[in-house]
Amino acid sequence: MKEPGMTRLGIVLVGLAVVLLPWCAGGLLWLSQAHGIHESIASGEDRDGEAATLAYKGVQVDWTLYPDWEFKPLLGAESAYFVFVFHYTNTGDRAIYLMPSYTLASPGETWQAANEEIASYIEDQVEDDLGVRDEPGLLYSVPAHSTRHYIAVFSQAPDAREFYVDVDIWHDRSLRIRYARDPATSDAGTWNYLGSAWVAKYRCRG
Amino acid sequence: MRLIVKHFGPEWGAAVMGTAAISITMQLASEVARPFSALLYVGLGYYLLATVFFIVVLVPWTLRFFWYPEEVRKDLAHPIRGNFFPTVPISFILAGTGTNKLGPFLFGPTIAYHLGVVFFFVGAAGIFIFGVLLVRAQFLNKDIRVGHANFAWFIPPVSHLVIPVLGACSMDVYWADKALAPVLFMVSMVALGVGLLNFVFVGAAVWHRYTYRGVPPGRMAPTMMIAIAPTAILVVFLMKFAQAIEAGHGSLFGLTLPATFPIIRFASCVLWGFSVWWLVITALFLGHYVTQVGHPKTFAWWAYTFPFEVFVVATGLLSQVVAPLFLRASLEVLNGMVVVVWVVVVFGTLGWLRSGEYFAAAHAEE
Repeated sequence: MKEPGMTRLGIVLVGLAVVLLPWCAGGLLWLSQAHGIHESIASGEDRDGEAATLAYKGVQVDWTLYPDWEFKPLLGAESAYFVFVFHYTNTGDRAIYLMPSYTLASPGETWQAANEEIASYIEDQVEDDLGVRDEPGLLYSVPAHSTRHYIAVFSQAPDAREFYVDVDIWHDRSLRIRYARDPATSDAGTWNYLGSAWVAKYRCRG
Repeated sequence: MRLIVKHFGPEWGAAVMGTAAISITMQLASEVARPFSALLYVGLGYYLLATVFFIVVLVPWTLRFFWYPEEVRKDLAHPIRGNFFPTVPISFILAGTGTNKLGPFLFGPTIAYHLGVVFFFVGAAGIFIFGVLLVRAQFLNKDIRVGHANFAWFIPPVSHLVIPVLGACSMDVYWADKALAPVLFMVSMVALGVGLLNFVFVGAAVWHRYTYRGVPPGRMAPTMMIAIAPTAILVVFLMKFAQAIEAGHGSLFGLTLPATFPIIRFASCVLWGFSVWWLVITALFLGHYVTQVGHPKTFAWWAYTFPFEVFVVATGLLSQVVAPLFLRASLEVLNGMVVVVWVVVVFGTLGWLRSGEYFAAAHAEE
């Protein structure tokens, strides 16, 4: 039994509307992002020339921090994030594989892992600003005498005054990076680097 | 309206599944290289479209339970149609997965991650309930025959396998070090056990049918693609579980990333390999159906979408840990094919609706 109603033209029009809708919606969302309607970019911050690069077992670690990176979801309130871009340099003669994990802790807050979703939304702007390419995924190769980059984003509590980030890429130690706001010597919005330290953590039988 | 609800079969959830999974394939494809980064927003577009489909499907599907319970009972007891009931609970799970990955762009992380967990529990409850009902119906059905076996029987086991995917995804994005993590883990592991072992048992039954009774008629042809899904979903689960361990600061319930990751990577490659092989088999039989048996336009064409899309998701996740150049290139090509298949199925469905077959009792027998 033929269902009266839709002509072939009707089918084509409905079909085109359905198949094109996600692309049109996506285009509108992309345009809103590209013009920065929902985001503001905090200025990058390094460690004022301090030779703070650290190396262990042939892996040299450096980083760039964007404190107070503000991201506004389409339907939600704006929030601030710490955006770290880690730069891993392989100083050895053979390629290595890195499988980093990151933890941010601040007083009064629970620990948090890096937020990959927010990182994926902002990575283009970060890459453009630094001229680097973020490595996707859990595990990636760093060729000999080369540097690879990884964006790690953490949400920022509104009243956060200090925090540290543990960078886990070695089996037997982690790199702990400390930052704090110091209103006595700078604007309330400035984060100061307090230094790094190697920490040993228990990791299930060793 | 009542006529539409009466004939609204349990299989309509497959349209939601086949649209929702594209949002994830697009998100993964956007990470490969800079020229593809805009695909993230196309993924958001598919997420929004899938949300519309979800609501449009959920209303008549739910109403049918209250307005036409006898029709629902007949379908549940049917050896082929009954297997499609879990497609709507699966859609809840996919809604949760999409919300976890793309929801933060729309609502912010907090709302997205909490909404994802709500979808987890609702979807898991539905999948477990239908899983038990369908096995009961199958074992008590005296009229079931070998010729009824087909790859649509994979849907109830596969539906259990998507639960740990969302469980691991939820732990990855937010819940790994929260009090809810053990609950997510245990529900996921129970579902993994149910899905994995049922996949083996059901697979044997369906293989028996295909070997000794030949292939089903043409209207069931798309169900062959379903067999690609279980192993692909297992790959997705394993990769997301590794990410959940990473999000748990390198250790989750005593499982450490360095200890578990080699096994995860090895097993993922093996399972992905089976999915690739079955994709080749499906392509061969598609040719056989089109040229010799017949391949009519039916709603079952949606069976080509979600299994293929989850295979692409598995490819994308695997590319992050092994053979990145080859698999990332494959990911982009497969992502394009996913869209082509989806477009063909959308137009095919509209043509099928126009033919009036929606109101016919379409029971594919042997």
